[in-house]
Amino acid sequence: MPVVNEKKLPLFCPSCQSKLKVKKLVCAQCDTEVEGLYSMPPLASLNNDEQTFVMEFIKSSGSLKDMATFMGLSYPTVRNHLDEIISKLTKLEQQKK
Amino acid sequence: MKQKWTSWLFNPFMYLAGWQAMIAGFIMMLVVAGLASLSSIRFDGTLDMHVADPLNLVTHIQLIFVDYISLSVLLLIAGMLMSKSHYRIIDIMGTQLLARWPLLFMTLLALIVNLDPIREAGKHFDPQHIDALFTISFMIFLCVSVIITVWMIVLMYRSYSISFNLIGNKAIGSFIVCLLLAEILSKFINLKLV
Repeated sequence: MPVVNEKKLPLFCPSCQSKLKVKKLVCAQCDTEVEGLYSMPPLASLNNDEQTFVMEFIKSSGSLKDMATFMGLSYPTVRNHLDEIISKLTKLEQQKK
Repeated sequence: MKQKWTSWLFNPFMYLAGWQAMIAGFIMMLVVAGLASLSSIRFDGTLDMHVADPLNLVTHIQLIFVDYISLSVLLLIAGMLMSKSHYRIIDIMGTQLLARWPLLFMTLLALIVNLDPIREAGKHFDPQHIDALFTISFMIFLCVSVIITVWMIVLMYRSYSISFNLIGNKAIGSFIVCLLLAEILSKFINLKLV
């Protein structure tokens, strides 16, 4: 089975490492383009692993116990991971303000 | 794969905590106490091991649990004061108990190396019970026991760090203070027990 590389949303400028913003949105159906300068929502600024964690956390109704079972890790390890994401999101929110 | 193996050895609390760690640690400590009662060693301080006259199983269990409770309660207080995270008391209590599992190797080693000559020499202040071969095996026993103690301290620190989400100098400093205080406290209580 061929391995398909999933496209990853770039978060930082490959040239100067600054945070990227959204400039253009395109409708894949009718090719309509919207142009402007938009900030990325905080959740989109998380890396892939963190976004997956948030998705699974929501799907498990916010149960750290279920998350620990799902990830094969202990409860405090998962909670510490969540603490890291909370701290990152708080910083992103503060930067936005 | 190798990474997971070393994680299980030096940071098992990444995978195991809470009640699971508590039950595993409890069983392990009962085995340690059972093996210690067959040998001449006793764990009469949080980090202490001494060669002395054999004790009964119940006294060994008491000594081990005084050592465990002394450190766990001090770390719990330190963690409650310093942690900004949401913690569970069962995590620090369970992982601290499991962190003492390297003592199993210490007791096995004490059974392999017959420590009776040291005990007799200590009793009579007379080294005539000690020959060259015993000296070599005892030196090896001491070196291995130092390695096992360091391993146990690493596990105790990891348990504290992961249970309260504390890292860096603050975590290391408070852990060392608690370890020293626990050693004094457990020594004091255990002196009254034996």
